Amino acid sequence: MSVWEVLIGQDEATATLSHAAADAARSLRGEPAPGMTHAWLITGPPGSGRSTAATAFAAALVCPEQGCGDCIPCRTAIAGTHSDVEIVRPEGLSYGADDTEALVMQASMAPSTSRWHIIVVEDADRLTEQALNRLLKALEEPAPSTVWILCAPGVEDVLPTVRSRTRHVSLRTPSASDVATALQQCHGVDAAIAAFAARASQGHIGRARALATDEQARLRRHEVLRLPLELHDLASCFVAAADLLAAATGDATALADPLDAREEADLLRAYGEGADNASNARAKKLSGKAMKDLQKSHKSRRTRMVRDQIDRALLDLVGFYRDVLILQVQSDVGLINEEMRTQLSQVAVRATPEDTARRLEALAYARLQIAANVTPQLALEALMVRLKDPSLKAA
Amino acid sequence: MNAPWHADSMATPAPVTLVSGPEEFLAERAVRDVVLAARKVDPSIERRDVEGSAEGAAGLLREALSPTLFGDAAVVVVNGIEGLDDAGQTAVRTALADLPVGIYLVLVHPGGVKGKALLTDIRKSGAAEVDCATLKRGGDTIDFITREFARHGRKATREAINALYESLGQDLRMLAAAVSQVCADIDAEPIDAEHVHFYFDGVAEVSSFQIADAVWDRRPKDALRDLRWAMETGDRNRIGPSLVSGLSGGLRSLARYTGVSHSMSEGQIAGEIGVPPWKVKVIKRQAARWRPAQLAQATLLLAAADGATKGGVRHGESLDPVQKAAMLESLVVNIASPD
Repeated sequence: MSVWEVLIGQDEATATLSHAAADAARSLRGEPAPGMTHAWLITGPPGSGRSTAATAFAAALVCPEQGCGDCIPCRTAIAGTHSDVEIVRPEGLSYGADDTEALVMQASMAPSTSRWHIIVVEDADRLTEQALNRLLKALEEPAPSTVWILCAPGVEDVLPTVRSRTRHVSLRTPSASDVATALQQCHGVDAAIAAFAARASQGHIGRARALATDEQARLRRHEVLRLPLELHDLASCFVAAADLLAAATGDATALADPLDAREEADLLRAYGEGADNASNARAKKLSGKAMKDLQKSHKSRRTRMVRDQIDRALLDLVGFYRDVLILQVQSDVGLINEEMRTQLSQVAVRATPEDTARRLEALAYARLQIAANVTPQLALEALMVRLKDPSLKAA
Repeated sequence: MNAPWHADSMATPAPVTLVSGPEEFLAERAVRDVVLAARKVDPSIERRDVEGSAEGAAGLLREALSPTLFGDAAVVVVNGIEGLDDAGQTAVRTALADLPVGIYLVLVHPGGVKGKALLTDIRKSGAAEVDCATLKRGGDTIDFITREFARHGRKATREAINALYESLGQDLRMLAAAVSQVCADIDAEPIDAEHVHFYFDGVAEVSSFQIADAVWDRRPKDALRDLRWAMETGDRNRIGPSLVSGLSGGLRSLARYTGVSHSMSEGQIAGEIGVPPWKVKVIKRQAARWRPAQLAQATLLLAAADGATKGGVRHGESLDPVQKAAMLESLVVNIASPD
């Protein structure tokens, strides 16, 4: 199976990247290779598969057949264990200048087993401005066999100076039918659930996968979408804010717990755990400092994940009011939340389209606030108050 | 034989004491109490500590338990028995079955599931247990402060105890130290809130709680005066976030209170809105001064202020320190005097 097949609904980007990989091979034979360059910026809406595209491209570069998907270089590149493919994942709240410094050092080294040394930076938008500035020099004058692949939601999320030094590939939001087909093929979920998950996730593949395979995730989403129907008075607004926070924390915990546990186990194993009780005790003792650092980074990642999941939940609510607006203006566009048509119609007749527009504006503002580090609970309480009474304006 | 952490100090310690639970301060104190009680019986008694997670803990433990040439008595404290390896656990079990003469054994377990089997065996052996579970906010901590005064043989008014709790919060070590300081310096009996304020008004948290209280009492002048005072005397960078979080805590309880049924008891209300029971009276008093629409407006003001203290929500909204101070001042005044 070719490395490109995991990209869902991204024919154009796949064409550009596979052409680049072919040209990269050509350049090694000394032939002209206009399709390849040493620094790439892959953008696309959250969940469209930016990092998947980046690792697929990296695999295609290290593979002797430009991405067969079956050879050892391909598989190790995708698993993140290839010695010439560095995958940087700024999982905490931000990625600072010191971290980048080390990365730039690594980037100057020659590849070991393949012909290219590839550095994938997922979520380049989480790099601080100072961190991005340190990258500039390396992006401009890279070592001859180094390839940078940066990922970000949009071109405006990275500095213009970084943008101008990279070649840009943009992913689009995959269509619901593309996502549904992929869910059925890769996870064997039945057609109805795949169609629901694809529709409900609005093109976010990771979210679609969670909704298709995790009943708890579906349940939490359902609870979030009931919240607009329960805003009767001030007290219920505050309860709704707490409920949304709890649902998002639940989603984040479901993602973070297994990750944390696996990484802690890996660390202990690296310090020699496993042979017998004595070596277990020694591993525990020796890994103390490293374990503390790891747990600290886990905490920061969890905070980040809770915020991401709150944003997901808010996008679900955006979908809810988008549906309300569609019913109000009697458009024949399909509903995201088809299964809630009755409740949506009730909300639609009780409010004007202007109210709905203001509610959507309130949702957009709450997302901005949370992104700007406003205490999530407070931002959500303010949001619920405005959803209940759309005539109120943000202060 | 299970005693809570506040059981009267014992006359003679049990041969084996299990100190269980995550509240470190209480656990340390429980261990100290055993040692003190043992010294009452025999002043020359020695304390020997063994770390459960240390390498070769089993050997160290056997050594600590073995009688000396002169048959000296000792209190052997094993810290963190959940970290004992198999050999260490066996050593503990052996000691439980046949405790050497003159030895008091204290086993400390921080709670949690690790070392559960050993814990069960210790309990089965009939060891005395001191429960050091984490104290819940509110009632439990208030009880703790009351008992701290009693430990010093002193009495304090309910207001004094609440004032200590509001100033210092949940940190038992700080609370115990504060009580001991107040008891040492104040001769009046009972100790009242004024004595506590005399010592602990300077603490940063006090100011933002006081400001929040003034705001929710709708006393804008007091709120403004306290805020200016806090900005004069405290850390200017911290006052913004701590004021906003103090205010939003108060707002949250008021907003939740608007939804409770009036037939509920104070205890039920406390459970419903998530505050300690003694706080319900304050909230009742404050809630009488607000309409829900005003509180809704306050929510929006507060969320916007939080964004402003953190560098602005949209590009170019960041404030300099002078603007930030002005923003906080207008925030408390605007919330406290609605319409």
